[in-house]
Amino acid sequence: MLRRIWTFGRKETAEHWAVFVGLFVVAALLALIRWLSSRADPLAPGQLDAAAAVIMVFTPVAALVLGRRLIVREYQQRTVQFLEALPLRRAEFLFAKLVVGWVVLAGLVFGIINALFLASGEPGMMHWLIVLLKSLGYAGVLWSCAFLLGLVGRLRFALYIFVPLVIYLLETTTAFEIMRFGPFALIDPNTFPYERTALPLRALGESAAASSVLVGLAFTLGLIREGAFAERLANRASPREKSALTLSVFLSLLAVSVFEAKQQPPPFEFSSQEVERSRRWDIEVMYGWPELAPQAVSVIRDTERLFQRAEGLIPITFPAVRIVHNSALDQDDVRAVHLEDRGGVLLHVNLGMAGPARAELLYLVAHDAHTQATDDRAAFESQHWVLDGYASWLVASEDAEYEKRSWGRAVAAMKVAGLASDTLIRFEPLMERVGEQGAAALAFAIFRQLVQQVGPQRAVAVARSVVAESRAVWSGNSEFSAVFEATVGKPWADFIGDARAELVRRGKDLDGEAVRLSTSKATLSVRPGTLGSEVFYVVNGGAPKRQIICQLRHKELPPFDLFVPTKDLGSHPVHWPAGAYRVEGRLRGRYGSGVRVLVALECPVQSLGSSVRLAVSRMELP
Amino acid sequence: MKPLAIPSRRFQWLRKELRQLLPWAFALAGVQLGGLVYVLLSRPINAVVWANETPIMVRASSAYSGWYWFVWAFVLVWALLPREQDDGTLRFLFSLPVSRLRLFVAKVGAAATILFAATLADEISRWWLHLLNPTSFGGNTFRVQWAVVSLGLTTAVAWMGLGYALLLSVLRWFGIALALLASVALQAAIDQRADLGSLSPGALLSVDFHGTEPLISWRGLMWHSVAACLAGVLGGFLWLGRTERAASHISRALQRPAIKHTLIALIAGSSIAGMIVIGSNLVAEDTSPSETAAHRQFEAPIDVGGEEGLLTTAQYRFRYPKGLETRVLQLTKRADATYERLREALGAAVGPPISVDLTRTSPTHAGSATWDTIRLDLRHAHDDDELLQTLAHETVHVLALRLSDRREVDHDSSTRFFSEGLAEYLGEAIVPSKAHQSDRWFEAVVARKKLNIDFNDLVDRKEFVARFGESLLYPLGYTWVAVLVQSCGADTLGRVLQVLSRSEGLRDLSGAELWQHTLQELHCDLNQVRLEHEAALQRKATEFSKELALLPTLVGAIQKHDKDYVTVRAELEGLPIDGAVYQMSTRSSQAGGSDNFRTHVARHSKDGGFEFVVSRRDLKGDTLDFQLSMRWMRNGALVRHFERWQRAVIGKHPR
Repeated sequence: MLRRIWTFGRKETAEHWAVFVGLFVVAALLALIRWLSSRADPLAPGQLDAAAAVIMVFTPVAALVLGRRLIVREYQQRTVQFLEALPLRRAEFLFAKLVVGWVVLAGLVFGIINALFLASGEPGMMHWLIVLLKSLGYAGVLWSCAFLLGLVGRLRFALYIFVPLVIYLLETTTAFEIMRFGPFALIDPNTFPYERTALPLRALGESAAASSVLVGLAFTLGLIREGAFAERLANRASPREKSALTLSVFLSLLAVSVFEAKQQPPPFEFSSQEVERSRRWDIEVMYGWPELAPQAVSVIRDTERLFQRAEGLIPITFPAVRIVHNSALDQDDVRAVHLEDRGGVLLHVNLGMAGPARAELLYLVAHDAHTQATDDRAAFESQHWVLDGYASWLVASEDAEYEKRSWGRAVAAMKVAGLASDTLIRFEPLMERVGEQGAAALAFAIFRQLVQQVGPQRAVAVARSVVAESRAVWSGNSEFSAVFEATVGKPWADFIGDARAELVRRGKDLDGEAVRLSTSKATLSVRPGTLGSEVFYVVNGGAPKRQIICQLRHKELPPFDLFVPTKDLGSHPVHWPAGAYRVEGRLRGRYGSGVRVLVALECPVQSLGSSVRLAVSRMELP
Repeated sequence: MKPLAIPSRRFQWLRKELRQLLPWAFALAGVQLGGLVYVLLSRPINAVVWANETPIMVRASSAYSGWYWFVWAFVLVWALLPREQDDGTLRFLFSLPVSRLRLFVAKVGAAATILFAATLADEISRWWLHLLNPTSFGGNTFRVQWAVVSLGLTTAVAWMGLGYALLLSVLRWFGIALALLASVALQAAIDQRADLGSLSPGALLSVDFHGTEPLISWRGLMWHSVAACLAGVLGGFLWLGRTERAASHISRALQRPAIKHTLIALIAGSSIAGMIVIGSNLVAEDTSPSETAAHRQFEAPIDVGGEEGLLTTAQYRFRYPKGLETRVLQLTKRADATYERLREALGAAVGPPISVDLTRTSPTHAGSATWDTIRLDLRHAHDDDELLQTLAHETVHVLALRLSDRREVDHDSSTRFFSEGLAEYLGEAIVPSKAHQSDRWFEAVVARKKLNIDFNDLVDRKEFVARFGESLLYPLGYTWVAVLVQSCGADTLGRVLQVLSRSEGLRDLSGAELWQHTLQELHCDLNQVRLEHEAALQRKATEFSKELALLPTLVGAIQKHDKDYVTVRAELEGLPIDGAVYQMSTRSSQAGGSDNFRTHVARHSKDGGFEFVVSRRDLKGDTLDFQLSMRWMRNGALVRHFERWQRAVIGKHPR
């Protein structure tokens, strides 16, 4: 029998020697390219990492080419029937093909490893042996796989895609890790060329087992019904079959992607000992130092009261709320941290500071909790003002100081941006013009006016239509006006007119500093300078009584416009001396030519606890 | 018997070819439709932003998009010609009384029509989707000019694919092999010479913008169009020309062993020769005026050369240049003790010896490490202590890999700052130096103060490197690890790695969430560490306040450019630091990778500013990505400050 197999093997070699030589040449070429780039890589710890790349990429290709030449072609061209006429058992010629393919692939691997070891000058026989055994184990599984795929005929194209897909699904949905299993563990690029002493026996054993199973399956397929089954599968796929296959593969990938996108992570959790927890809701405050424990308790109590009130008005499922003490923040600064999907609301605040931060914190809790509960729909542009206004109103109705501050901010925002019937509907440009705090304050003023005119129940009904019912987004001013009139019973334009009048009336309550700054005029322009184009700013207006430090906020933009939150903007300090009526300066060397930049000039107003944005511009540097 | 109906009208041939391609057209339509469905399913319909979905506007997806259309062009051409030949129907077509030109036009026209219909449908579907987004910004990112450019470029790339595929299909599988080899070789060349990027047809969709105006690579487009047209005409001539269907002959000839083998040898031989020529040319490429010869030679790693020696200790196996044996012996004397201290600090078990290669240099890194392997650059370390510290740093990386069972690498984006910080921190413990310690804190404070970097930036390595570069990860990581030890205990460092080694629960986490869960297992709170880190940086900022007040800012912009070089002018805002060296780094990858990374030393100009000259060979497209930095001696040790990475468009900048 061995003699028959040997003779058949020689016939196969004589028939396919050119392909074998071709594979050796291509392998040498790839190894050379990879070795050269490895030499040029300043981070490569050694030149042997070329071996990992070449073995990992080239061996599967070589296995598929060999599978096609030795198996697929034989079946597709029906020459397998001639083989059946030879004085050989079917199992014998299949075995001979298996051996020929394996010897060629092993030879390729042997050649690559030896060449790269010689080129890199790596010493150590054990090292060489380990790398070689790992490569052979990997090649063995690949060849067994290609051998089996060769026998499944036209179904192999489907398997090329579906097998990796199944492995991917296993990897993402179970504890199985493909890179830690058998052949993949052997070829792990992190260890493959660098393991010098330990032979990965487990991975080698798994690879041997996988090879045996694959070869067993291949022989079963090749031998059942006297090989007729494999021959039938070998018929070429029609264009329709190929087209249907392409489509089904793509749709499977799509389904997997959508399935992945829908997976939700668990909520964010604290583990510190210094954590205060709410008994009723999923609210935790991490205070860090024991002396801040009373403040944490107080924050929990306030947040519970807020939730209790909000729950009575608009029933939603509140997400997890996590509040962290951060000593680096100022007294009126609260920082929201974005958490993936439904990971909860995470906010940083300085618990050690007394001041307006508490109300700002509660506003952000209400705002972000409602946003997350509606999968971000409540924050969609045309209805964002309702969310901001409602959340501010919730806090302001319990905190007179916050209400006063919000009215002041709203007046200042109106002085800067005006108030027309579409100002709030186009909320993103409004946020850009007056800053998020100014826009939220204007939204508060409108919602407060709504409560004043139609009562809390009907005002909350407007908010409920946005927050709780997740209704379709209002597509514009006219649609919103109709919805508003149907809910409130008053035309939107008339209502805005009343609100404007109210804001003008309240403007008289603003202190001198706020009036002076909010009526100051700032211009932003681009001028040529010694470092190309420079951003030039000029502020004209009421001289402040004390020196203030304004901020020139800036950020590079893509070619298109998207809303940029203030927290993403960089800062350049602008010193405004006491008594000065004019301040000018420039931002230079920060942005190159051809770049688009968003620039905004903001000045802090102490009585409002926030900044007034005097000017904003999207500019292109020539 | 019914006579054969010969199509007589002009478009009937086109229709016949379209019918033949119908299954593939359906497949293409299905894939396109699937993409549309994915967009609809994966995000709210009214939140789709046109510009974010359009390849020419998003660099990361433009190259993929180019290759996607190329693949479809190849599929269609294969279905039109090789398939006809395999089925024997090509011979039948030739027997019909139809001109070869008409056959060629019909076949190419059918494929081109399908590709154009697909690219047009792609554009229309994107436009339609964005109509559902009514927001002021997201819903208004569409511009007709951009859509026309997108459609034009995508169609052009798809049609170029047709031209190349027509020629390569003559060689069947050899053609595909050739295309793959060419793309591998091209990529290797682009890795070395950024300006060769325009040779890749996929790069035609990577459009730079000057403000809002797209800068189309007309030169690249023209050359590829001409090349694709020539390839298409030649391919058509070989398949359908009057040369007795040369392609059929070639296909048949390719089956003959002698020709086939010769061809294989020729392709392989010429590829190898080509690669060797390209490789040697790249090594010998010339230098830009600002770079000293000494600096340029360090751009790529070099072999120190000469005879090599091997020296084995209990924990290391050193491979070194014999000429530097004295220095290496100094290192080896203290190596094992260092290893032991680091092992104890991390609570790691004794492992196999670590292989240390001292024979190669690197322009950017004093050392690098991977599994059981370290590469050290002897040239970077000024004295034996510094060399030992570098060895300790890299040994920590090796031990960390072992302790985390290589999972530290799986979470590299979120853990790199910790990994480098850990190595810096323990390396510092081996060779303690108050000056060095103070300098690391100083660098971190400057980074925090001037660049406003916080923890969220640290746990997204790609974004961090894109904005600030890799070097700042070291001091910030060092200070974070120091605070972690203070906050959670000295044994936390090793235990963090042990927690990472477990796959359960952490595998799908990243960023702050990964750290929160990791530290939670150690009964330590991430937020506690974060706020203590902030407080520590603030304390140090107060300590360094005088120095910080005097620290200048380095600003720069393109001053001039020609076809070979770009000159960047930089100026100091503030007083100069005595003995400071000013540098500029460039790269070609906007995504923040280190592609074509180069460092340029400043040339002082007469008016007190600095100039950096960059060779355009190092730039991909019309954009210059650069980062200004300064380094100076502080307390007897070198400190560095990096400004942010900046971008400037060269295309329309006045010369």
